[in-house]
This record gives sequence, structure tokens and C-alpha cells, in this order.
Amino acid sequence: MKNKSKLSQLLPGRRKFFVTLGWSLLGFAFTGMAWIIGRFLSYSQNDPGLEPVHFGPPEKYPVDTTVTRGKVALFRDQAGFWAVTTICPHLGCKPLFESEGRVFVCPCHGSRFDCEGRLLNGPAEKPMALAMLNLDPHGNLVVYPKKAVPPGHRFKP
Amino acid sequence: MKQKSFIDHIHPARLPEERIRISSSFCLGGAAFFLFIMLCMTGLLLSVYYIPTPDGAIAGLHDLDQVIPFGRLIRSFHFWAGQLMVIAVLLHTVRIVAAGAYLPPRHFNWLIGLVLMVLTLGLDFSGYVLRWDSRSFRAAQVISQLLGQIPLMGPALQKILFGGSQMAEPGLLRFYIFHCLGGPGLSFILIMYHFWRVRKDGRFKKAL
Repeated sequence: MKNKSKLSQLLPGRRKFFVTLGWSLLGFAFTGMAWIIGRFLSYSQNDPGLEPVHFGPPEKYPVDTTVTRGKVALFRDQAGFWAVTTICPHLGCKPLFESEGRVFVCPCHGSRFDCEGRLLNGPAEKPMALAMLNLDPHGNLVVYPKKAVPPGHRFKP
Repeated sequence: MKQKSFIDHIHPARLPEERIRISSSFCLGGAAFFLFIMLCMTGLLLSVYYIPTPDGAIAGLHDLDQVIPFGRLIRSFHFWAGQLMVIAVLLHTVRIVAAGAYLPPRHFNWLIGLVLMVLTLGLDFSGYVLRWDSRSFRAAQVISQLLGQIPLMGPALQKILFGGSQMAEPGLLRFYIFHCLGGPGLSFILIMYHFWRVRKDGRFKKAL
């Protein structure tokens, strides 16, 4: 009888542990599934989420610098600043900048663009857009990817 | 315990131990049903990006494989669940034949099962056609030509299933409707009847 009462004291604890473990694993699995499904359903070609990108004071970037932040790549040469909106015109992937060749290469289908967004080879059929640059009231550099500027554009702060 | 009573009623209150042994069913029907549910869920997700036109099919598959986050994962789940479901259903059929479980009193459920097997094969094939690449297009053409060879009703069947004597865009839409609505819907109704019939015909009372 003594043994039995010990067992009945022990077992509920063990059972509770496994029940808690089971529910938490199930919870993890369902959270993961919900995340995957959410990511899958949130794909959109029309709205890449183009908010202005803040780069801080322009003095931070000497001539010949390259910075990528979000969907924007910022460049500077002797003539001034320019910013490329890194959205591949083919299917909306994000081309990555390769500093050796100074080219953008799209990881999805290998479209290539030069550092001013001009098309080097397809499957994309259009160049990448250049984005408008401006200074905010505090003198910080801001890039507006929604506003395109003509090719060859330079911004002098 | 309300949520438990539903589970309890799938099985009778009492059943002999040897009837619920894994080796007496190998859970093949259950596996097929599990895969069916998985196919419904992944298929629902895929239908968000798939458009049943020749251009839409190719663009949709391309986006799913290359651009959409987890698109290839969900498409692969759908594909492999489909292949496994065909295997599970065929093995289930073989086991029923081997055990003689098609004999009375289960002969009617055997017929329901045969219809479900044909539906499964039809769903597998129609899903293949939806890829609309050159191979699946040829497969659809071959089937439409084969149907056309059936005496008397051949051309009529061709028109009903393919929307004409050739495989083309109307055929793709028909396969899509069968694959997404007709096939799964009819399957679900028959599966529920199949399960109910298992209990009613006494699957758990007598030797298989």
C-alpha cells in the first residue's frame, strides 16, 4: 500500500511534465507553421515596402564609398551621391552588390546591373531605378526609393 | 471531457485487442486520409498563386519555385504528399484484397473504396496536368487521344473532360476545377461515408 501511494504521487508529476512538454512542442510546431504560411502569403510584387531610408550626415561617406541599407544602395564619387533602388525589374528579387566588379547580381536569375543600375544582362529587361536623395532638416541624408530620378543623376549636399 | 467524446465514438466502446493491432491494418487507410488532409491544406495555399491559364500556370509555378518565400517547400509538400497518397491507397487496396475484406458484409464499402481509389488516381493525374510543362501537356494529349478511341462514347467523353477533341486551354480549366473542387469534394464526402461504413459493417467485430 505504501508503494502504491508513492507511485501515485510520482506518476502525476511525470505525466504532467510530458503533457506540458507535448503541448509546448505542438505550440512550437504550430507557431512555425503559422510563420511559414504567413511569409508565403505575404509575398507581393506590387508593394515592396519602400519607406525612406535614413543614412545620417553626408560627411560620414567619403568619395568612393558604397553602403547598402534595406532596399537601397548608396554611392559617392567626385560628382556627388547617387542611390540605386535594389529591386530587380524582372521579378522583384534583391540584386546584391559585388564590390570587385562593381556590379549588382540578382540571386534569383542572374540579371546583372552596373553600379548606376544600368542593365548589363538579362533576364531583366529594364535598368534598376535611381532613387531621389535629399537632406532632412537636421542635415542628414535621406533616400526616397519611391521617387525615381533620371539615369546619371548626382546629388551634391 | 467534451472534446474526448468525439474521439471515443469513432471506435466502439469495446473491441478485441487483436483487432486494433497495427499488423491487422498497417494504418494504410489512416495514412491516406492524413495525406489527403495535408494535400487539402497545401493545395489551398498553392491556389493563391496558381492561375489556370497556360501563361498563368507557368508564371505561377516559376514564382512558387523561385521568388515566393517557402513556395518551393509548400509545393514540394504537396507533390510528395500526393505521391505517397497514391502509394498508400494502392497498398490499402492490396491489403483489403489479401485479407479478403471485400467479401460480405463489407462488399459495399469495397465498392466505395474502389471509387475513392479511382478518384485518387484522377487527382494525381489532373495535378500533373496543371504543371502545364511540355511533358504533362503531352500526357494530357495522350489521354485525350486514348479516350477518343473508345467506341461510340469516345468523342463525347473527350468533349466532357477536355472541352474539345484536343488538349487546350478549356481542358486546363476543367482539370483545374476537378483537381481543386470536384475531386477533393467528392472524395471528402465518400471518405466520411467510407469511415462510417467501416463501423457499421462491423470492421471491429469479425475477423478480416
